[in-house]
Amino acid sequence: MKTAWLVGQKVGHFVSVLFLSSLVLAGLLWFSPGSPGKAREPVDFDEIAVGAEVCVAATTCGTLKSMPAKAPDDPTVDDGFNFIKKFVQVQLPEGEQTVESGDVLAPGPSFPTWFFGVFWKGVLIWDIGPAFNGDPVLDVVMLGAKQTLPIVFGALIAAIVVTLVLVSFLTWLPFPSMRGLLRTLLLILSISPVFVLGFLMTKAGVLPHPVLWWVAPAACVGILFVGDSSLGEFLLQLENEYRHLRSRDYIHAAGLRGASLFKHMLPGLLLPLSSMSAAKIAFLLGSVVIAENIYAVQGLGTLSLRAATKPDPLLLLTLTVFITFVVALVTLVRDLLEIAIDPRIRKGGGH
Amino acid sequence: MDPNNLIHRDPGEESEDATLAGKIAQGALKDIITTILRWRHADIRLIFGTIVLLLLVGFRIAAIFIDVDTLETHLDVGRSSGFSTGGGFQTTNCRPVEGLLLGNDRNGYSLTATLVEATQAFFLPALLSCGIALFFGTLLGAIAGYFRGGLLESSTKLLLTVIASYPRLILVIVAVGFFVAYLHDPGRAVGMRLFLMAMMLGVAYVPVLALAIYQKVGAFQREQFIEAARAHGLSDVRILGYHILWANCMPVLARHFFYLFGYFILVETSLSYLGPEYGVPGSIPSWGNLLAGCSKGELFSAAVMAPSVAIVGSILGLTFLGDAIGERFERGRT
Amino acid sequence: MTSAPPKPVAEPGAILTARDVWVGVQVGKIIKPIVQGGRLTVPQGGILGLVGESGSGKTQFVRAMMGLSSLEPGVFSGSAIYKIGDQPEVNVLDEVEAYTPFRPPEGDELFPQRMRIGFGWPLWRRRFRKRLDLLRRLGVGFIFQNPTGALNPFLRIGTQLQEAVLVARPNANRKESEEGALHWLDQVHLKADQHTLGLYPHELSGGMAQRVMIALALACEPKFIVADEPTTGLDSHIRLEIVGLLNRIMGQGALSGIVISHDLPMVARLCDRLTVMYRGRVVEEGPIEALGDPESDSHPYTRELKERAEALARGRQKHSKGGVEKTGGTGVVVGKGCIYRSRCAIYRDGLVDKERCNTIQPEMNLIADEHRAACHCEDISDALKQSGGLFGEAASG
Repeated sequence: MKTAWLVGQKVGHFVSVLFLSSLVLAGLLWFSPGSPGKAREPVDFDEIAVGAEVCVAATTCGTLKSMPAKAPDDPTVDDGFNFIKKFVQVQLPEGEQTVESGDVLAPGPSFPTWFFGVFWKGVLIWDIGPAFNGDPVLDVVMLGAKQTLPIVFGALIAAIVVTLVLVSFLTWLPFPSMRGLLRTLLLILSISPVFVLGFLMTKAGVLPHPVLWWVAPAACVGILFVGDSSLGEFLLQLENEYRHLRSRDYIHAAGLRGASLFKHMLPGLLLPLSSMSAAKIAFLLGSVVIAENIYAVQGLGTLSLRAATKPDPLLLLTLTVFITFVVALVTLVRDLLEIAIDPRIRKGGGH
Repeated sequence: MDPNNLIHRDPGEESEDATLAGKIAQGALKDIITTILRWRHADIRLIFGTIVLLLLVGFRIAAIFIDVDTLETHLDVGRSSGFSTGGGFQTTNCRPVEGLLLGNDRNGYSLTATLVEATQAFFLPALLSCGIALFFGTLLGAIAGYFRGGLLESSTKLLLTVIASYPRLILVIVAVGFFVAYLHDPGRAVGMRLFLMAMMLGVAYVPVLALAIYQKVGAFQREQFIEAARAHGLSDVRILGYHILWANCMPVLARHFFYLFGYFILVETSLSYLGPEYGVPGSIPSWGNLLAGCSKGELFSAAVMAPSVAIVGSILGLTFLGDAIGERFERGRT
Repeated sequence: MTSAPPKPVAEPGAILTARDVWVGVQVGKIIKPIVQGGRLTVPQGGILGLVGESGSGKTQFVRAMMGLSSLEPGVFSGSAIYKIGDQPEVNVLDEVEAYTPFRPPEGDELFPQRMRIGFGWPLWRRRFRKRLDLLRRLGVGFIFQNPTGALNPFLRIGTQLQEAVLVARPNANRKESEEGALHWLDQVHLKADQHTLGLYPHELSGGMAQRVMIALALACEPKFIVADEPTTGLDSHIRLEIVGLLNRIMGQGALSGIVISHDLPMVARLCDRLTVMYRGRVVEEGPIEALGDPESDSHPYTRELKERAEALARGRQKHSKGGVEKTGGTGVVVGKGCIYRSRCAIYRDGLVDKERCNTIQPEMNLIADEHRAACHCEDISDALKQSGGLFGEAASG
């Protein structure tokens, strides 16, 4: 039952990485200027009583000493029409203070309350809370994911397919010097940043089309799988793996036997491909931010940009955890594939 | 010339006619020639990369002295206000002006000068991020690779996996957008943004570097000379610090230094392109900014091509340089 | 008058005739010749032993003869003609000279030269698949050197054995191919059951893996087998078993083959002809008895190998006399004259014309019936007796 143990180990790894990365990010957000732990909301005096914890500034908190009342020397009559400034007494560490009732803030949540109580509980009951535009965070994220995930996985598949075609072509090409030239040209093209490629494409006329809705996502896929060295790295690594594999003795032996080389090389290629994909998916999810911005796709990328500058820590945390979830999932799939294909891992050594 | 030692030599062939001094001279000469010969095989990548590096450094130094104003000479140029509002890149003052080498940018300044000055936006922060990545990456990678087995290795690997699970750009955007959102002073904001960009990118790159060092240190761990050194009483720190890292891991570090430098250029220009809330605002020149500004130029105009070529060329050159230096020192070691 | 070079023909009665095989690898600007003018003849029904130190080019030579050279440019000259059974003669290295841009060195040249750009060269190299198919149809099998490396680690050995069975019996169904696989497992003395078929290569010991390798080669029912270092890296008792197995299989007379090794006793037991390589060149070709008989002529290098093997077997450390290069040298060298002279006892003791040895490369001279050696000395056995061999005391010549 070693397989079961291995699988369990990988799944456990997946869960722990997901949790830890959310923890690290939440901590990062907590200690930033926009921390959700700071007091922000004005307090509702109908819901609290004397002795409750209140704050007078983002981080200065104390105990409420009195309910709002107007100043003793204020001549305004409380007849329901006039606005009367009311005051409260708050016991702060440095002493008692009289503060305008409107300036009193409810204290922000503590870290565990926010991280576990709001975020993770929200994930479990599928209701985290509102985003900056009022919609539920999860709805916003899912909407964005519907736009972005097809683009990102499309780019990954395009990268794999195009790389396989290119590798076959380069191997077929009988002239080594031309191979080198072609490879260098592709590398130069690929090393351009995504935004340069996108910019040049918009200049060349590839713009979001009002009727042909697929132009923008397709253009995103195009610049994503090529730019930021995606294609270049894929090509280099796959060619290396292929050449390495091709010269192995067991491939020669299989060739001598007339066996199908494809059948023999497939497991040997599948593993590096999945490793490369797992490495690339994180990269693609980062670059998609820029691609979406250029083509005005309302996906996770644009959303993160907005959440970062609004700022909306809860949305940002959810977004980043979701993205990390996708990355960790692809890595998990890759690990499971390795367990399935490579018998050395499943059975270990031993005879 | 027989660099591969293929020509058959009878035993004792040389010793018949060389005196001691002659033999020593021959040996020294051979060493010098071999070193020069290695550089004779300088490939195009090394040359290109070195040129790019020298250009970048030169531009950066020149940028200290160039103030864009001073290069503007007798030109009657209508200047727009120079600020681009966030998200809408409307300034389009790309009217061609005679007399300038590459034409003018959207603010009417000489494009050449702006290109050169834009190196200021990324040079020092890139060095900072390289420093952070190299320091922490080496530290973590060496620890994980040297003290194998046990809590130290697995916890370090877990930490590195956690850091590696975020897309790097997302981390940078989170830091830059989130941390700076509350700073209202634009001047300080830019500096803070670049600093955070550098720090976050350095931290995000640590897993890559740590993995490379981990593999290298692990490979050496199995060599015999580690056992011998330990038996001689050398402390672990000395073995690790000098014998493994300094003597053997330098090519890896050099290669990743240049990769990261190029990657930082990529990140900085991308973020500046996105807008002033994420990167460098329009009033400060940056290659990303230049691209964002000139939305009315044609595809092959200087205003569009010059920043693109600058960006792609510098990233390409630095990547090539990293590759070439890594390979060269690897070859020299074995 | 220009004439095309004569078409190479097989020697009568030989199953494999290889002549002038040159294999090179491009290192920087020069072509390093791994095999220089290799020649080989395997008679029908005979087993040839190919011996030499590591680095002498044995494996590359044999691979070149099978068209499996993975070096760049690999094999660029020569012929390797197979005449197996009633099938027509086939030259695996057909037309190589028409396509290749390189030619062997002529006259005073040391290295192979490039004579043209050779645009078509990659096209010839790409035809290796066809060449492999050709060899398979002819009935040529190969036992690879590193058994675990030659077995696909992702597939069970049962699957791989069944593939091999299908080579000889293409129309077998699943049940028949499985039975065939079990039969061959039995032939190599492994437990022929479902459990063994289900094993993965990493679960086999070295000896087991080598037996599986042999079974794989045999399952193709070849008429000509090449065994590349079949016992290297195995423990000594396993080595004996494998040698016994090979003896039983190959000694039946129906199989011809080549055994590559640097283990002389094994070669002596298995083979009836011997070819010796030194640093990329073939220096001797002859019957196996020449190896053991101190009276018969043999190349000094062969004698040296034999003496070293005997010294090793006796467990005595002997140091070679001064003035002779110790066994540091492996790997190919190029140069004028005889490349063995730096280690040659005859040369050292002046029992041969040193000028000739320094300048002229010795041809493969006929020194006995069907026995050739590349040496300038006329009476080798006498000279060796006089010089006392590598380890003995020199009698002044």
